[in-house]
Amino acid sequence: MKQRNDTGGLSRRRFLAATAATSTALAAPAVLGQARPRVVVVGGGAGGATAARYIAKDSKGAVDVTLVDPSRAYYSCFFSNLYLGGFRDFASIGHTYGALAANHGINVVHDWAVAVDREKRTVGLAGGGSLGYDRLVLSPGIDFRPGSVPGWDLAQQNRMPHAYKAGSQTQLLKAQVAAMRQGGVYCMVAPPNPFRCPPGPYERISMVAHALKQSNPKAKILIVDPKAKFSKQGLFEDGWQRHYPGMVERVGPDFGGDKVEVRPASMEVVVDGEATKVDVCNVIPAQQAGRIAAIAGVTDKSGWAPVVPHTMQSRADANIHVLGDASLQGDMPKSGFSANSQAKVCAMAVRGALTGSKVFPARFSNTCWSLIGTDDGVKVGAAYKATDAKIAKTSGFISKTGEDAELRKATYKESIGWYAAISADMFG
Amino acid sequence: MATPRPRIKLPRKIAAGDPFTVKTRITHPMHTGLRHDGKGRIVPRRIVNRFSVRFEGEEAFSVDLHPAVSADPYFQFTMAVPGPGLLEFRWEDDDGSVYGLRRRIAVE
Repeated sequence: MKQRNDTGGLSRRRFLAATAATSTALAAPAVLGQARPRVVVVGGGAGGATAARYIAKDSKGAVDVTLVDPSRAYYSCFFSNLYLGGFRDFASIGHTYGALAANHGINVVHDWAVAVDREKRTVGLAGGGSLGYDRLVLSPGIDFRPGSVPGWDLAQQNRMPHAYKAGSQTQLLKAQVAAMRQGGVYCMVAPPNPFRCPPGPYERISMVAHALKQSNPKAKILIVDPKAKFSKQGLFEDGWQRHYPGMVERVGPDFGGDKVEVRPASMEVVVDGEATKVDVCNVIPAQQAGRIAAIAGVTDKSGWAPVVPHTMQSRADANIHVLGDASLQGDMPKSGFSANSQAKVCAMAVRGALTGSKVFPARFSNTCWSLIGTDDGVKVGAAYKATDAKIAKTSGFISKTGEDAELRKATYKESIGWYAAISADMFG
Repeated sequence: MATPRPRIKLPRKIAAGDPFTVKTRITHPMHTGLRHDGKGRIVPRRIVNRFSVRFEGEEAFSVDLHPAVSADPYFQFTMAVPGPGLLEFRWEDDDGSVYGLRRRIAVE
């Protein structure tokens, strides 16, 4: 790993500058003889990878970009439900950072960012290194709120997986569903608002139901939900009736869904004091911004990081931008599409500040597709603009119940095209 | 069909003579007998046709259900009890099945 020294000595930049005259092959032509501004991006998901790539690509080497993410392989949360349903294989949702390094000159550092010094403008790494920045982009996604589901903590995630950060957890959940006894119960403890991917838990129910319908048709699905309503509710409930009649029961707050605890040792879920034995228990706890955002001091009491909508700059520190799920921005849902959209606005603002490139008014968009059954895709989406107060929705759309099969199939196909496109947009 | 699962929700604290809200729901497809399945065959009628609640053996609330009541019928009503006792809930299915739940009520 590369380490930078801001306090003196022969830094890499100074070394490059000093040797540029005799060794042109080493230096970026646009910035001969001057230090390149430095951007550090923490988090290599839909927000961070996109921001790193766009800043590096569009500045044509004028900005020195470092991307910090502990994972050598990224598994997208989006489409991980399709893997649970058997519509994608696991490898198809995995990506690596090689092209960002090779094609865009991004310094990819596989380490945990564990400290931010806003005075000195450095990011500390778990491995001991330190990275200096002119602009810091935080896109750390989510972490779970400790204690939000009594009885559950990270030590129980093997017995009761969350599978809400994709990877081994997703594989574990799929294996547990496959190994369920005939006629067993799959329980999901759904999260309270706000959380990553609002339709995500309910698409997961659809995909688990799809898998169980084939391998274990007498199995039942129980959703314990603290929320009175959820995203695309009418579309999901209609779909469950059509594809999986009698399989799915949802217990909302009117029947105690907001008063839940779990007992991992006995595989029990206790709803409003009444214990039920289940066979698989998928606990999706309450969420907050990824921890580095709180360490950097850019989160507020809500646990999320307020941002200036025009640039995605933190309201606490103009040298820090916060993207995606971790940000508190207004009307956009926490989704990969949103993070990707916000990353482009952020990249434009960062380049404008560091290289003087033109900055256009911020525009955002989002679409969340969900698959309910084979070729039965639905979507919800909107366009947004930046106001001083928040990212504000300007127009939206949502699928309707009763759409014909052709339209639903076309919607599903559209989502596959989007997945290929956003993957290329993030990873090059 | 999956076995219907009844649920009820009562307040944690009930005082003698004070009205309180009871919520009930049972998972049930409520087949009207008019719909067709994917192969064009009529899905036979099968509904919960009666729901009743007794307190200490005396009927406190009842309702007859008919086709066109939607799936997973939900009822919310208000009642009061003079003192502690047994509350019994009963759902009667077209196929002869009866689904029941009981709650012993302790008053303050």
